[in-house]
Amino acid sequence: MSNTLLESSNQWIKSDLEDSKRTLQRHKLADRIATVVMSLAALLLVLVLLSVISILLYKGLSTISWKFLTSAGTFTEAGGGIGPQIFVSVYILFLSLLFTTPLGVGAAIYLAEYAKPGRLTTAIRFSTETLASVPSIVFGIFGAIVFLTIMGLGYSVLSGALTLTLLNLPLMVRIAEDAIRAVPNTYREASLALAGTQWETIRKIILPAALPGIITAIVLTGGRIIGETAPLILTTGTTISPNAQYSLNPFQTGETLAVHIWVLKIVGVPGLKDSQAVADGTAAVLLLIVLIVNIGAAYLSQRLQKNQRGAR
Amino acid sequence: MVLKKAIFIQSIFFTAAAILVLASLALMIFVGSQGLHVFSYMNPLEFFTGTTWDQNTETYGVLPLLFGSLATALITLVISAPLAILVALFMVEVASPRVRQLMRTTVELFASLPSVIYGLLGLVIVVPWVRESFHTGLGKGILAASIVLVFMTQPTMVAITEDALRALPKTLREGAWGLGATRWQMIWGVLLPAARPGILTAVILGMGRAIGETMAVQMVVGNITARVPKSFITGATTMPAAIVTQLPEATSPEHRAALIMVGFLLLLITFALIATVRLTTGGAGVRR
Repeated sequence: MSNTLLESSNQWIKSDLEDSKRTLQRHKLADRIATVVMSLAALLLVLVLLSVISILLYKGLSTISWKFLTSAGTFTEAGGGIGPQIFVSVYILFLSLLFTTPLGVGAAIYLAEYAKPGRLTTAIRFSTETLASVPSIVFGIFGAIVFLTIMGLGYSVLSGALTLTLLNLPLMVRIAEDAIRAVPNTYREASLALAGTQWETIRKIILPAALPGIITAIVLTGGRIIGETAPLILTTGTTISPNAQYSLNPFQTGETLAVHIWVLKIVGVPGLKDSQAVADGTAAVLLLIVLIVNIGAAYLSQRLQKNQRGAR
Repeated sequence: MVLKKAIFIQSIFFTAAAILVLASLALMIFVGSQGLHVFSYMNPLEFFTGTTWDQNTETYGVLPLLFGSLATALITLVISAPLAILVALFMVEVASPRVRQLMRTTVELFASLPSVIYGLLGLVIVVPWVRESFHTGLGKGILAASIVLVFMTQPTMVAITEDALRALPKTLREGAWGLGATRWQMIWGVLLPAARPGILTAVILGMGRAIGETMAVQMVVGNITARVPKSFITGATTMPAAIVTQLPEATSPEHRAALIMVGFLLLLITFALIATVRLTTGGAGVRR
């Protein structure tokens, strides 16, 4: 009697053990499947990025030549280029950075060095974050209302540069402020102890120490300016006047590289030779610029981190 | 003298900062007032419930645009959010430091690609794929736009989810390991619930990015504004796509005001999303 009881309880324990073993195995299997799924998701992103880059380069690299980069598109013979578009892109980049850098760094200095907690500072921070969240097309609308109509600048390189300045200010302020805040307080104390004024401290100590970060901000902003499209369609236009292709007049209409791709692919330029090849070539040029800018920015911020480690 | 100079310098920096405040106020005021002007041509009910947007007949019902934007954003999220969470989990829990760095670079490069390049790729890869898979139409539509947006929203979503996972206290992981949990049990039962506010933020900000995206969507969505689309593979439009397509050619003041109103609506939707993020993460901060 007691024997059978023992046996049955043994049986029960055994089956229970079997059960939990099976449960454990199930959980282990689930764990393994989950790991595979997570890795596949990551792999998918890497593969998509690699194919994006190789497709763009494969389709576009053969078009790129010195002539392609320096001549204008043509309606009569094959092999037209994107020289004027490159010129306009660089011009807008230059003009916009000319406004964005002093404004952005100035605001960053105010926020990092002068601003005291209070309503005004909250308002400035809130505005910066608000501007950062505004979709770029809304900046385009704003530019079209204020710069084109109210200020009477019309579709022009200047209108586009001003619009992009507003668009990029929040990014510039954020990175520059971080860079200025990262300068160790001991630097400030040392300068003030040597009877330096606050302005001297900012000019001679803080700005030089924060320079790599500020340059990173400029480079990243530049990358965004080069790739920006929607606000420029509404403020700079989509054409370059044939008799003013390399004009420095900021009141001219313009067409950047990114806008050019859109115009060729979607709007169409009737009669332009090889327009699809030109679009692919332009895309490859744009991609290369963006890659170089980002590698440059990554290199700079790495150096910045090293510098900061050295300072501590 | 020295004091005067110091005040002068400070006021220069202050001016730069004040421009930010002025700019955001001006943005709201100008876009808002010029947009609301549309209601001097038509009543708001007509605008918000109209199912036709046709500049030839001066009929401006916002529903085709609004529906396109919301549908595109929702389909994007359904694919994009799980993908981003999986990738972030891979980066935090599975990958070695080197692989993690590789993933970070990948995600950053996705963020830096110009939207017109996404549009171009959508045009040569996604649109033909949709066309051939469904055997109808041109392939341009909400589905094509969503597929492109899935990859455009990854950087925002992955980065914020990764931060949220990384910010979790180490003790949570140790507790789960100590109870003999497998990694997936730990992730599913402990990490994901604990990181929910951060993940929610990631999803909402990703949605903001999807709703505001202009060029990539404009190039693959078909730009049909006349009606609310019957399916996800027929030509449609979104709010930003309609603005960039029509504003440069809008000659009548009514058309122009209607488009600017769409922009103002877009601005309000974006602000609502940001406010939601503030409220949810604020709530989480209190709870912790």
